[in-house]
Amino acid sequence: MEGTFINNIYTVILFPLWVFLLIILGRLLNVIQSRRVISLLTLASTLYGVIFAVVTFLYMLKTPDYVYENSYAFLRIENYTLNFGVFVDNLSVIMLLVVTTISFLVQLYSTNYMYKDRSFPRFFAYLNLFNFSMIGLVLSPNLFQNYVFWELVGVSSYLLIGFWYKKPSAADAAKKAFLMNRIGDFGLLAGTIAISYFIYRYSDEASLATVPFSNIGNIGDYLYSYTNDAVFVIICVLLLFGSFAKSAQFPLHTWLADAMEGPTPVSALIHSATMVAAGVYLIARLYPLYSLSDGVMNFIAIIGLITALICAYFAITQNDLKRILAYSTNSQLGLMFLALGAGAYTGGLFHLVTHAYFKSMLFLCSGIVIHSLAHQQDIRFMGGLRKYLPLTAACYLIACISISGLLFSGFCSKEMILSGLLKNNHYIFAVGFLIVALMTAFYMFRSYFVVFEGDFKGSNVPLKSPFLLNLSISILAVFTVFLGIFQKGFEHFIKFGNDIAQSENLLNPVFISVSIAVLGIFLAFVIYCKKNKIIKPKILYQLSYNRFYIDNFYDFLSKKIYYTISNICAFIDKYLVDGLVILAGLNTRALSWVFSKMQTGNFQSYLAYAVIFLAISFAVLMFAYTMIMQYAFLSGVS
Amino acid sequence: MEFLNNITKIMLPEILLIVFIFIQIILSMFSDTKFYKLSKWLTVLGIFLAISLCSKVSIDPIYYGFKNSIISDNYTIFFKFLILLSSFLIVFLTKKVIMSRRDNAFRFNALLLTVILGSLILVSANDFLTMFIAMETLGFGMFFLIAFEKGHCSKEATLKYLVISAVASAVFLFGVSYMYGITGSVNFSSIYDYFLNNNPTLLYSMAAIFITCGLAFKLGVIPFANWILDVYEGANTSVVTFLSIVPKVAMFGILARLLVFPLSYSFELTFILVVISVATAIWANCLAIRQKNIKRLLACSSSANASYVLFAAALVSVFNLSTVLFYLVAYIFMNIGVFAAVIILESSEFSNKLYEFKNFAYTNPVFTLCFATCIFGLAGFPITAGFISKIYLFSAISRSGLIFLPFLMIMMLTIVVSVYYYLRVVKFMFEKSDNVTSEVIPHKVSSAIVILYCCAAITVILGICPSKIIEICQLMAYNI
Repeated sequence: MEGTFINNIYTVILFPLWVFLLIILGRLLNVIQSRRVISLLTLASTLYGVIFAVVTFLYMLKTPDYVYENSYAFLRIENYTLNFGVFVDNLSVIMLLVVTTISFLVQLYSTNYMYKDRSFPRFFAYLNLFNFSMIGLVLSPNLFQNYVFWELVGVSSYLLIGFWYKKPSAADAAKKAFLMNRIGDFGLLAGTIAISYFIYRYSDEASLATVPFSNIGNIGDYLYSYTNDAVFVIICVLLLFGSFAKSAQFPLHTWLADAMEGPTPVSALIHSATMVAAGVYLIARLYPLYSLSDGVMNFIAIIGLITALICAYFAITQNDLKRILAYSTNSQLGLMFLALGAGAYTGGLFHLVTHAYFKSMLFLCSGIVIHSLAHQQDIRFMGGLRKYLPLTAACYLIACISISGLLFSGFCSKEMILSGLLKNNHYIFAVGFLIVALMTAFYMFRSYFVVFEGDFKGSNVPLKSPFLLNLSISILAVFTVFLGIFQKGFEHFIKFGNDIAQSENLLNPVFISVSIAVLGIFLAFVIYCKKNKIIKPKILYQLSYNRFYIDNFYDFLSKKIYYTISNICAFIDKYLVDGLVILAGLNTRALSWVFSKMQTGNFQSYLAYAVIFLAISFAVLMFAYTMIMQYAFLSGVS
Repeated sequence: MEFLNNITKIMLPEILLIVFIFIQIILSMFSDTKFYKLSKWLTVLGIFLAISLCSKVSIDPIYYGFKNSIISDNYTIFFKFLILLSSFLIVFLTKKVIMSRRDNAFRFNALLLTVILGSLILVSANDFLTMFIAMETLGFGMFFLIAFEKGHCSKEATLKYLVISAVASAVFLFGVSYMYGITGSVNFSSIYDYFLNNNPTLLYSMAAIFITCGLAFKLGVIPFANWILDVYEGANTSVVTFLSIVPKVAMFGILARLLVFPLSYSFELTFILVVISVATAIWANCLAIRQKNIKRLLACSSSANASYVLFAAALVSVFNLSTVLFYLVAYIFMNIGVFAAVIILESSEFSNKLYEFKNFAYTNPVFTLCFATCIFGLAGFPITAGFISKIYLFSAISRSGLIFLPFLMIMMLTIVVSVYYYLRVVKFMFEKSDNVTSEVIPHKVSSAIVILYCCAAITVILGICPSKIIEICQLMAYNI
């Protein structure tokens, strides 16, 4: 029975694509207009994916180390064969589960949330496109197919951020996200080609040249032996740039906060749970490669830590509810990178899973809040919403507790990361991790207290939230609360090398991290719930509010420096290059004029040209011949 | 006995054509003018039978006949097939010219067959005398064909063609006389063998240069290139189609053999030919951008294409030769397509001026599409045969030696210029104009329309899957 499901798992990729085409073409041909049909089709395609994911997952629980690969040749050049197909192992099935379940719940939510929007079908078409590309990404059998779907994910993200494309800020944000991702994609492509080149050039096994994931351990070893350290590190860093851009890590992190211009369900699905996790997923995929070099691993960890710290710091002072959550996502993704880089492989991935659920729940809750306040996103105009939206408040609170690492699933995953860090003796990283945890607890509860406690500061009475919205956040809350139970199972299911069962002296780290979280919550409670006046250190506040002026710096880079260079280039192009082209054209015309004057129509002149040509060519020939003979004579060559 | 044996073995298509020539001549004396259509079908039948007789010619391995003066192998049969095939297509374009001169229809076709006969003998010649006789047979037929159109223009064209042809023949014979003086033979194989034991001298190179310059006349390249515009403008378009393909293909066939065997010892000749071809490319492509008459423009274009092929043929190698063959195959179809379109326009009472093509894209979309396909093919755009053949040709040249790369670069630049004038033709067809109400009448010239469509289709098909034809060309080039 399971066999049927696993053998047909490629349909999970194709079904959303089919629905996407159906919606687009149906709209064009005026066949499918009904919103109900569109949403039902979409939900069906995703539910189909959920069923397949669950069945495959259960089967893989029963049979350890089961790997399924089915691919066909897409491109053949001599003995180089590029395969496209599906590849299922423990990691991809976990990702498939996360993607399909969250996708399903978000689609359920959007059915109601987006119902009044004029472009409802377009929205669902994009959601299906995203599903198609994301599922294709997690089921890719090799790095090349991975790259194809990586780009497709970027495209659907671009389309969804700019969904309300008439709003200039949304269009700008979409462009920004796309450009930032392109920087990373360039690195990923360059790295992929570099690996492929080295393997194809030096290895006997041509089948490895397409970087199949099933054999990534061997590929890593080969690559490490074929290259010197510097080249190896460069290739790894190039590949990592793809991950950094997609997961919004430090130098390229600025797009994620702006991406909140998209509809809230999109933020919940793509920019918190699934797509941004693709960077973490790729690192986990290529983990055998990266783990060969300590420098690369430390690089990942440091970048992750920097991102986690600065983004948590930014989140403290933001006033836009979705921006707070965006920076929180960013910082949690940084923690995952930190965990992976510091050797806490299982912890990092478990955090990916738990974070996906509670962060999408947070976004959906924020969506309800924003919806009920008629598109008010500024938390200074909220407050006391617990009375109007009790269920939302409860869910938000659960998520806050979880993300702070106090209880529930977030507690489990954060413990796994912390104990992994301590086990690998990364004490500096552990300290950084605790600082991030403190800030996380602080800003999350700040947002909770400001939004849901105290007095209502808005003008209109908040609307009640509809049933479907409540349903989807309730299901996510259930996931958030109970996912922690599966911690032990997860440790055995997803492991790298001998990285398991580190929880012998768990007591100390648990004590520390919980107390840190409580401290953060207490601070938030004192400052924002009890309204104690505190002295805001102005410089620190400004730095955080303006996000270290990194955006301004990028603006400066692009507007001042890049524009200056491009103006100079434009000038050169206009006057020098174009001038040359025009000159060439004029020359040709002049030559043409001369030739047409020579074309007299008298055959006498034609014959004269022929004779002149022959005479000149013979003269040149004779001259050259005499020169050569003289030279040969003088230099004594007979 | 040996003579008859030779004839039955290798000369059957030629003999058949001679029979048909005599039939046409006899009928021209007795037949009524209202049977003028018969002449065309007789020609078609003759060419068709000749094509089918090509399979009877013995080619394995190499057959030398008539005391070594005629050769027959894979290579000659390939060229004979090409010549007959292109003539077969072109005969369908002669409808209008025969209709306008019904009394002379049979004579016209007899002359046409004579030219084909000359071309067939030319490609299988194995000594200079046979070659010269074949060339003159070809040329004599052409004089009268060019003069066939009514009016004084065609007579002027014939006169130019005649005089310049005579001078070119003189140059050719001058070279041959020197060659005979050096080697004591006019046979290709003996000349080749003579230099296996003797060093080539400067005199030999000069003789080779004279010989090839004499041949340059039929190819329409410098030094004897200027006639091509006037003759193309003056002669009837179907004759021009014939002139631009059949003698040229035959001439390239024999030129490649000359360069491989008797003239292969002269490296000076290679340089002279490269200079000639680059100069021709510059001359033809620059001159074309000022032409307003489509026939003059196509004259320049045919001269330019000949120069590209000459470049590759001059750098003798098997790979180069295969590219030359493929280029000729592609060029035949594209050129016939373009000329078929011009003939259709002429029969619909359009002049040959480019600005009269306005509005065509809107009134005759299919015609425009096919015409534009052939034009794009000549310009060398992708998915047409022109692109593949150009790529193939120039890649062969670029592998032939570093010293030729600068020449190749110049030639490539002239191709950029050529795109300008090719696209200008297409641009005029897409231009809207109010006062011109153009309407091509297809039923008058249905055969030309069919030829145009076929050629456009073949141009695209050859551009998409050329591998089979390229294989054949490589096989032929190996078997020269």
